[in-house]
Amino acid sequence: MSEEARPAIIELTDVVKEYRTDAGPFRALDGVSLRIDAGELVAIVGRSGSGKSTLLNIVTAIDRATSGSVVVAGTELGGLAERQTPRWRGTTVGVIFQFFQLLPTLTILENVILPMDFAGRGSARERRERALGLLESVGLADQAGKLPLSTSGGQQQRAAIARALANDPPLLVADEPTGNLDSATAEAVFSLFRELAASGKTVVMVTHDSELANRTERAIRMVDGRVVDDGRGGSATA
Amino acid sequence: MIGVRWRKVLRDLTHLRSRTILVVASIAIGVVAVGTTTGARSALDRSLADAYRLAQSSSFAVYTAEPFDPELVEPIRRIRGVEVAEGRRTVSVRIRTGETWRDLQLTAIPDWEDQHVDALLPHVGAWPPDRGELLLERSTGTLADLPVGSGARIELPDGREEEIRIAGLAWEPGASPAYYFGRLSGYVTFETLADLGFDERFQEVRVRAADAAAIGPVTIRALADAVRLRLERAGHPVTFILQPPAGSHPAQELLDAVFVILGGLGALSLVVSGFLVANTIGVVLTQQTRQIGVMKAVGAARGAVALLYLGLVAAYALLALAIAIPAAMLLGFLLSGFVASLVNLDAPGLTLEPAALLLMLGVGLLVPLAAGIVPVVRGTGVTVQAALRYTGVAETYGHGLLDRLVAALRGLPRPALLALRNTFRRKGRLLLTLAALAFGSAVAMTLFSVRDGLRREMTETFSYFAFNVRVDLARPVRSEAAIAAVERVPGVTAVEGWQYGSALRLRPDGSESGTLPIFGLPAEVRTVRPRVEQGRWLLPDEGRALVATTNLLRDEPDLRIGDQVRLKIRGRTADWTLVGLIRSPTMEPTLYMSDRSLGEMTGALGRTSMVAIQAQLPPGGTDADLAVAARAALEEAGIDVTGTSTLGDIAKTVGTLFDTLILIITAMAFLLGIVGALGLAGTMTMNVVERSREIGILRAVGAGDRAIIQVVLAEGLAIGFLAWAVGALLAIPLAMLLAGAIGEALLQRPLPASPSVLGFALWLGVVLFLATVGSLLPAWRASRLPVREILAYE
Repeated sequence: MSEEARPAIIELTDVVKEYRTDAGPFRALDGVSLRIDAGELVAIVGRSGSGKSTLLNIVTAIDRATSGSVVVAGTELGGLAERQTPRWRGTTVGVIFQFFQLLPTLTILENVILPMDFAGRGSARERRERALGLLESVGLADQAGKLPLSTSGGQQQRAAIARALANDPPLLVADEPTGNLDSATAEAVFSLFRELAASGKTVVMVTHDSELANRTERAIRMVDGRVVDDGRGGSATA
Repeated sequence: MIGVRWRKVLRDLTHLRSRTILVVASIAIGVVAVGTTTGARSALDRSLADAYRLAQSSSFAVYTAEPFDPELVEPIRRIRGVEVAEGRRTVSVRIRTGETWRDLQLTAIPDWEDQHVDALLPHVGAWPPDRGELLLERSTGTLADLPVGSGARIELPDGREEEIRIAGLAWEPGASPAYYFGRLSGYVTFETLADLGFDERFQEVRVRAADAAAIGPVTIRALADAVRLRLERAGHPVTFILQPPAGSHPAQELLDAVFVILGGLGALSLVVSGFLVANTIGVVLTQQTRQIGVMKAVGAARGAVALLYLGLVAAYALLALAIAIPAAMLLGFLLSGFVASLVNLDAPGLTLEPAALLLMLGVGLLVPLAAGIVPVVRGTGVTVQAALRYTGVAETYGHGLLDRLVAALRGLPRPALLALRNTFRRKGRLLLTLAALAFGSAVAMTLFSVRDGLRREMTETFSYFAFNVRVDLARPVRSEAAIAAVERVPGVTAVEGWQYGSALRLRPDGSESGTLPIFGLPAEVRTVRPRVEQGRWLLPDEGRALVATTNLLRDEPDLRIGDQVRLKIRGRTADWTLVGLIRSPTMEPTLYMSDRSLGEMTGALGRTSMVAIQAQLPPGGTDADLAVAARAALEEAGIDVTGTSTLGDIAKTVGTLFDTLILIITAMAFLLGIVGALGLAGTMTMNVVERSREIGILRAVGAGDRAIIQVVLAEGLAIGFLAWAVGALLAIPLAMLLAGAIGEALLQRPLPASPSVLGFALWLGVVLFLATVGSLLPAWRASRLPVREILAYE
């Protein structure tokens, strides 16, 4: 698919994010402009403190930019009221965390149902069937009734991916998704991301693992809050 | 099928059992306190109303010097305003119980099946008693062991002894219980009274005024005067008119005092429980910060998350209610039964009082939700980013003045310093924990202070009574004769003949006061020690000087020292100068004047009807022995005695009242201790859970089990000590408030309520003990946490 043929799912223009700290203002993102298209599998790489996670938080509306424009799946996030963000996120973005972040008192299946529950998607039966289908697709159908703490790290991360897919969002965002997994499990998770991208989902992941980054279609490199390489042969920082 | 999110609520309830138990217990304790007190009050109010209805209480009773014919009651019934009038006769005898003799008031009832005033009801055994039989008031069981069906010996005023059979027990619902006045009450037929050698006629008439509750004491008094005039015109001088407060049971005053304490404590427990709930919910929310973040990250709006946690709070509340309602029902039943037995009421059954149920439902749901709303709103307001970044390690420490002050402390061991700084880290939490604990401590210390105040009041009240035995004579005799007779008893150090009578105050506006008992005491009295509160005591040969107890001012608020007080005594009116006010030894307002002055008014100059005896008791000797010896000496001198009362009897009367209150207060302090322990244990557990990661870090850098335990324990002790200190400061004004309310309800004057040093010290010990117990388990748990797991935990 050519670049022109694929619509942009993320468009950042001159995005700045500043934090106030005891030591004075700290600029976590410094004029980032970036475009990610639908169906891309993108890695964001950089050292600790380079602004990768901040970028992810801005894209998922978990945090707000100090200035600049952030458009995700056609929505200008700056124009989204705070109370509108959870529902927007629930249906537009699937978030995957390094430490899985499954709710410990819900079973694997229930954890996957939860976003559908919050989004009011389908009937109880439909939610359950969809969740089971998603667990099946990540190879966890047999673990559906277990509590997260009684499954392995890899299983928990796959459950977290299934949860991220619950509302069928066009965009999946993962923060160090393999950082807590052994290499075999990490490989399995990465394969899953590739399959998802192939099926039309956009997958954006932050990673320290340069080998993993090199295997994505596109690796965006960040240094000190700036994009120094947008993976398309140029710097996207203004 | 319930939604997954509600399943999470249910799982949280069941998976985190210790936390659920803690929150549920915190709520339940407050609800139980409120439900028990309200339920008991409601049930007792009903019992009291039932008893009052059954009692058909008289508005007044008029006693004559000599018996009168029953036919004289008929014209009294026809007096306008009289609804019911019935004649009776009450005589004083003694009854043998084991090795001792006790005074017994024997009342003869004319018609057992048709009573309309001051009713007596069957309770156990025969009804009515046969000739030669006696029914005892059921509350006499608290004073003497006189089994139904057994025979007993009674001693008559002339010294003769007769055998009488105890045929059963009766209940006089309008009467005070036996221990209240330390004397027994029994009931016989007029035939039995005649067999015992008493005149078969009436000597008192009990009257209920028409519409008694509405017409007020002054109108009732006027009616009593009309009855008195009718009797006196028929040649029967009236010795005394007894006019109890209209419209309420005699136990009302004691119950009011008990309810003041219980109601106040119920409310205070609820406040403490509210703080505990707010604190615990706050901790629950803090612990769930990451989960809140995750739910928001997967699409939950703040309102949806807040609703979930309010649902959790509501679930806690419902669980607490499920425990609290039956518990309060049972405790209310036990409490009302206990109080009912104290005041000779029928024990209310095991019922769920609608008022208590409504209050428990309202309070049990509203208080937790109200207490939870702030932590829920704040907890769910956390941003996804902050929630996910939350590690359990406080990030805001070190900015405030308090932090800097604590940080400036030097020279303490490292674990103690860490514990101290930890104490002030979560100031909101500390404030709530302190509020709960300090408030509980304040209430407990208040109770100790009020308890001390009651004890001191009791001691001071007793210090008035400087006699060992008081002897009531059958008729006035020459004082010298009575004194000389008693002075021969070994060990007697002082004997005084007192005059006794009753007076009415004629107010400047023309109205009359209620009947006031009046004592005529010898100059330089030795057998009582009046405590002068205003003015002075009577001087020898002073003429028309008058002293009153301070509680007279409640009914006669215009009186001032130096005022001329117009009194009507035995139909004669004269003016007296009020020279002093003394502390009231009893609840009844009383007047004092010299025996000579009273004697002149009553026509009994130089005569006495009451002898007070002070003695140096021999080793092993008792007041009861002295009473027997004095009685024998008087009877030997030809002076008939109707009854004796020892200081022990009086102590029992006053003491029972105070002891009851003290018992209830102590039980409440104990309960509050449990609430406090629960609160601290909960807070410490939460602190440890929340700081698991930090504890892991400490252990990773080499802290041993002992050091970890020390840190947690020291933090618990620091919180305990702070709570005690704040509580002690709060307890001082609280004690004054509560003592004021109890004093007004019970004694019509505020109780003294200076801080109880012993109580405060004791509570410090209790708090530190509870802090140790409350922190030890969390401390031990903390020391068991494996480092790898803690640090890996996210």
